Amino acid sequence: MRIAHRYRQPRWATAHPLIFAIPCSLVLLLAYVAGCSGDQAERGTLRIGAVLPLTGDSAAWGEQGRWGIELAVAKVNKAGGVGGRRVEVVFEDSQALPRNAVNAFNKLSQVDVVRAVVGDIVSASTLAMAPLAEDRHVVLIAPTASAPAITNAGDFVFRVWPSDLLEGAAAADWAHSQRFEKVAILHIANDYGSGLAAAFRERLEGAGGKVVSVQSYAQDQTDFRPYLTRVKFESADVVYLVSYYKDAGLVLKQAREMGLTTKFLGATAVESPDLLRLAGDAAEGLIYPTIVDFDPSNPSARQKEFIDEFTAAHGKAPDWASSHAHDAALVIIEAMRSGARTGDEIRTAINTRRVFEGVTGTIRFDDHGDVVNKPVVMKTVRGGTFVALAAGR
Amino acid sequence: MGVILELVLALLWLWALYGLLSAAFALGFRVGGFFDLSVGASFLVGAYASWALARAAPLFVAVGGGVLLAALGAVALGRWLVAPLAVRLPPLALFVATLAVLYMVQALAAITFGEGALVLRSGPAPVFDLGPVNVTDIQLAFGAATAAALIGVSIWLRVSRWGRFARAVADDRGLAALFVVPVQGTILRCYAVGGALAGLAGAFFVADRAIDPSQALTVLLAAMAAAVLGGESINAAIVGALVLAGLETSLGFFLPGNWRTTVAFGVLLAVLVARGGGLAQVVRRRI
Repeated sequence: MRIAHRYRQPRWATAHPLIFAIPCSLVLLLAYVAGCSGDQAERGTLRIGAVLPLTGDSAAWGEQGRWGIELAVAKVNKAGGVGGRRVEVVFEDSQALPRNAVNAFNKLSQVDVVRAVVGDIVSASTLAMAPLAEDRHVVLIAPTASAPAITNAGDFVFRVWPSDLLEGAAAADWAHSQRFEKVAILHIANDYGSGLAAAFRERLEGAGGKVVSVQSYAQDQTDFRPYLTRVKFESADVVYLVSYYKDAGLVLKQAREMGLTTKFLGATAVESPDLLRLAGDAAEGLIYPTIVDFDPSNPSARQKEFIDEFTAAHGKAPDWASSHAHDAALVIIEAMRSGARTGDEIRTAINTRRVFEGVTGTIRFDDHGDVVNKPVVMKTVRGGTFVALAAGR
Repeated sequence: MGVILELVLALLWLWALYGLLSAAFALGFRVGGFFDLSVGASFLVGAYASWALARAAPLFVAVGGGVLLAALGAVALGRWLVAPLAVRLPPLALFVATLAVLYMVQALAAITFGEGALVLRSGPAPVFDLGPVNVTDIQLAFGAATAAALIGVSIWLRVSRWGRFARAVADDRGLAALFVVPVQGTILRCYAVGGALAGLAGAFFVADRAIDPSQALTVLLAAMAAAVLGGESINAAIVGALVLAGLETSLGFFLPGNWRTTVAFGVLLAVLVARGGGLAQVVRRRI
């Protein structure tokens, strides 16, 4: 009797399948209705997402990017929106960290149900989000991410800043033209740093240049003296420094304190007022290549309007992060103007049109979603400002 | 020769930073009996208070004020948070409580001072030319202050009345209470000393490098590792800090950045696997 009792099945195990099917169907139906009602509640707005480093080391870029996007959306809404519907942006913070970017993207795509996202400023976060964008058919447009790996990150991934292959080649060509005999590379240990360093090295060595050392540092590093000691040991003529502005500021400051007289060749990401604040006089003479599709010192009529409106709103001049984030949002909005609403439709609209006009000039996408035909110039720090190298001479 | 001297100097500055923090951490752990992450909060208070005071006061006054505020903050934390919680909660809960304090101070620093990196002085510091190497005024001042602070704490623990109380509480709190040692008063004094050490490390950090709220956790983890590597006592934690700083500096010269941390902490694990009590057990001497 006890044995029979032991093997008796619980009542739920012998119940009719409909007992389970009906409540499950009800739950699914309710979820669908809730989703639909959510859409209806938001029928007046078109929602896009943005993943930017709003806090942390790279917050200065995130803030600029946010203001650029807000300006783009404000102008569109002021002019009547898209098809009579207002555009709304849901911002999420990545802190420029891949794990945070993934969390932010999950929230945007699953909770806010956006179908297009602007982000991120940095390559590592963008690459972390790319597989999710591909999987969920959500368009991801990176404003300034430049790692070469983004080129093949997926059909739903676009960017309005060119690949590092362009910037790395420009830096290498300049270093070669200066006939530096010993070149050291110091780069941040992430996708951005290693991608740009590899592009630079390949181009320089292909032209006959010599790289005497390649060092990388972790993103949270603040003490660069051991790396700079290595540069001193190698007697390098120039250091190709691939870093963000904070790291670059500390490297230049510590190099000067150590008495290192080596020349520094930087990357676009150093161009920030915070670099000058951190490094002070030590930033003088730093040379770097940059994309000149947005040059506040020589703006087009459209750029001047953008600069004036941006400065009036925030009391600060826009930089490359705000201008490119502005245009990334604009590309999505323009795609939506054609009636595209789902991720697939937005992607198709971008691929069909290919060419857009923004404050950074003409944005022309290739088959991989990379922007092409962007000009590069060398700039330097002179008198506490960033100026074109030719003008500075 | 110049390269070796540069590396030695780099090691010394890193040792000063890790030494102060690991001593603060070890002190809290020994008398409190749990992993006290509020050391990171004291570090931030020292850094940001020094930065704020330096806007209106000479550098040494600003640093002194920062250290004092960090010590007072640590005492307040011990008096009104840790002491009441310690009566009814296990060490793990206290660990989580101090982690919460650290995150709160990080968030408050971000709200008050912003997320960006702050420096005490813009640009390179004035340097003293010592032949093959240069030393900045900040490095000299903080090197001396760190040495004085760590030696002072060591002497305080050995010869002073409250220092002996602290050692008694660290060895056996119950027994110390039986011998009429004022346990709470002793713990609060240790909190004050630990807060001051961490505050000095924060002031050093903002003066020599640049501070942002996220830095606290990075340096705190290194300090915890140094304390665990040393083992058992404050002096051992300072020795652990020397070993960790030496590893990070030398490996930074030879290895790429991510390997630097990997190998340094790999050595930590190796020491712990070989000798659970850390370096103190390796030398078989309780300091």
